[in-house]
Amino acid sequence: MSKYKEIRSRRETYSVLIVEDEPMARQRLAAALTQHPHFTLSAVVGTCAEARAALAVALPRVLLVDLGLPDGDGIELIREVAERGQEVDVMVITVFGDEKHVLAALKAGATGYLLKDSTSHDIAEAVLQLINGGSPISPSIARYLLKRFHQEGPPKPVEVGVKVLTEREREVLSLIVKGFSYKEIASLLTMSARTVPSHIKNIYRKLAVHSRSEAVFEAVHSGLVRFDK
Amino acid sequence: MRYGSRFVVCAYTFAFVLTVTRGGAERAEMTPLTLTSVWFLLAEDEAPPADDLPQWQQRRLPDNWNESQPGVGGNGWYRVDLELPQIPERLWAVYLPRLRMNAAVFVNGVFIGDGGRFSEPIARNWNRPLYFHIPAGLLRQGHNQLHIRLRAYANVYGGLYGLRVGPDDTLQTEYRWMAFLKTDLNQAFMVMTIVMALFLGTLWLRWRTDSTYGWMAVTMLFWAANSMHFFVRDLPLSTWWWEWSAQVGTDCFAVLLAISVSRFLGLRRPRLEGLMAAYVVLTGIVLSQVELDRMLAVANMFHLGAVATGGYMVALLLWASWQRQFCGDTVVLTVGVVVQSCLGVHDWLLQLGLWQHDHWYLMHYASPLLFMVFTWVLTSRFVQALRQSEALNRELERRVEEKHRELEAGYRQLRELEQRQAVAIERERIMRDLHDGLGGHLVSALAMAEKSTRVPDLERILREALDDLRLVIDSLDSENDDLLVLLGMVRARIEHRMTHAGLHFDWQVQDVPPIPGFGPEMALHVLRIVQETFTNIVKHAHARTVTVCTGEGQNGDDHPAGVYLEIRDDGQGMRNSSHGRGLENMRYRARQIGGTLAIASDTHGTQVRLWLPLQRVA
Repeated sequence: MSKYKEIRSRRETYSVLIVEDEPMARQRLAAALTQHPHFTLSAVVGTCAEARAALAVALPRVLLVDLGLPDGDGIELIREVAERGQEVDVMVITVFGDEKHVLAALKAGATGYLLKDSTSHDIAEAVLQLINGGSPISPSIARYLLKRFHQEGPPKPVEVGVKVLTEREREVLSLIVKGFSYKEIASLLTMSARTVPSHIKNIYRKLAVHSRSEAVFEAVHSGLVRFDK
Repeated sequence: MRYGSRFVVCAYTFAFVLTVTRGGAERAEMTPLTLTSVWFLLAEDEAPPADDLPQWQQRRLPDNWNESQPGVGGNGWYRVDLELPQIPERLWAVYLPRLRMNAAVFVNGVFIGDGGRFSEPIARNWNRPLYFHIPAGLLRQGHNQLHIRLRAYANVYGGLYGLRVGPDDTLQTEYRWMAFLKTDLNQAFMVMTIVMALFLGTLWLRWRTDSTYGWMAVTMLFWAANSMHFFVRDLPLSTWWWEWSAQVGTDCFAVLLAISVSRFLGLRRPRLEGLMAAYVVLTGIVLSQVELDRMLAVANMFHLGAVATGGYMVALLLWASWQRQFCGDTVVLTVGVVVQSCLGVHDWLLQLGLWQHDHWYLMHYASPLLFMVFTWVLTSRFVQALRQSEALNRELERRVEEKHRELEAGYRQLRELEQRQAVAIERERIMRDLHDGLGGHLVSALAMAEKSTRVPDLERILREALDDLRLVIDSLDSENDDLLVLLGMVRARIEHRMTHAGLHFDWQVQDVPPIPGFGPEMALHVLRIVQETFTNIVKHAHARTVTVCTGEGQNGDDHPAGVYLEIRDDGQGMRNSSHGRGLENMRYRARQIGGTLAIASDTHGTQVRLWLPLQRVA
């Protein structure tokens, strides 16, 4: 409840773009967000094309996107938005919250995920937390991240700005893997409760940046992309 | 091969004919003088006897003692007068093309050379020309006298068969040529035959199936040993033994050759061969009782047997050639054996004294040719056998490979079947769980939807259904081999519900070692146990704190090391046995994954403890 107080004092409202093809789910999401005073709906669309059109007009603060869209892949949309470089938090909507789908979205540039059947309260809570710098995570995603960043050896000279996990981030991830809650982790590692989710968000950012530059590098090398803009 | 062997036969025959005609009979007219008019005296003297002895007889060269003095052997002297118009300027020499057995030459009373030992065993120069240089100053203008001491046995065709005197440069070529043909060539043939014999012998040692190789090797070695008679001069043993071995050796060689030929044609005639062997033994025994002066005569009778053997060989080969439609190898061999046999007969007749003994022994020149042909044929036979076995090997290898490929294909099919079966089993498992878990939820939800008044519960049921589905999917994660991650996922899914029910987690998990065989199946069972436990707590326990801990531990004294998972609550305990079926289900699941489930409950709370072994028990 204190979180809400903080935000209210800041008097900020955040614009949200919802991309969800199923009408009932779309309605539910829209309702959940409009109920809270800190969110305004920038647009509520059902297809990629509509989403792109909306994005061309204005960039929202938060993008809520479903992966299974009728005229395209949500992942592509996420990537386009993330590449814009401006501050847009992308949250992907998933039914299962399973590792495969979430990771694909994270690699594309998403910084959070949302379970489709979350309650209205949880939806708003999750989006707010995302804006405040925290991201949700599950033990299996944390394990994947540990493995993924562990595989990288010394930074390759080609990729500039490649990041590895800090010691703290690694500790946080390993405790998440064991199933500890944010609060428990904060007390175990003697850090404030708010730091834990922000660590997660940073880790997600590293995952996305890493993937993107890697993808670009490979694309350039295989001749798919030419720098003639 | 056929053309090659025919060529060899022709070439050799040509060379042979050339040799024979060239050296067969001595040429009479040349600058060197051929002296034929001689005086002869039989005396044991070692120095030229005096001229005026009355025993001097007049003779003519070639002088065959078998005719001029039958039955008489010993030490003899020849005296020859040589008239020279002037003292020769160049070096002169005395050349004795043929003699038997040993000679010494004196010019004008001065000894100029001899052919070896005059005492027993006498040096054998019967097949060896002798050549002596006349030292300068020995020859006089006008009358010169030559004395030649000759020693021979009786009845062995001893005597002096030629005498030439002349300039060294012209005479020497004749001598060299004769020496080559009679001595060097025979030595070369012997070495060559030994080499071929050793080669064939080696082949036989490696390939015992065909005895032809062995027999031929023995025959050739025997012949090689026998051929020493033609050029060995100084004997290691007594003349009698040497002569005996020469005669018996010839018969033995004939028999060996006949057996080799039989084997070559693939025939075995044990009785006939036994007879031939007996004949050779008989020859040996009989001849051993004969004195040297009668030996040749007796041996000649036995050589009839050798001639007969030769005839038998020829007949055999002719019959085989006809049978095999005159195929190359057999024909060539037949020709070789025929030539050899004819020459053998020639030698026999020669030894009988048919000609005036100015012919040579010829058979031993034909043998090397025969051996070469034999060796060639046998080697190509061997090579062919090798090739056949190689081809057979290749065929075998090919078949093995074929079978191997068939087997591999069979295995692949088997593996595919196994894979499909494994997938089918897994699919069935998942379907069963979905049916029991999710299916059950949805059916309840449906029932509630029909009674549309109970909407909040519908929501709960549906939410629970979704959580359940997520749990199942989590369990299917193929990378999930960690109990702690699984528990973490469960907490993430369930925490909401627990908080809603006023419960709070005390998360006391510790790292545990990896559990063997922890796959989707085991994970799902554990999940269901945990889920059931949590559900019970939420529904019945009226508790505040749920403690979850894991660790390594034993489950009693007789249990090996394992991992435990404990869920404690501080509720009111299980009062009634209404949980019976649920608990039974949990225990069943624990058993399915090889572990145990212990439940303790009192008024202060309940403790559910799942224990899994660290060692896979079959």
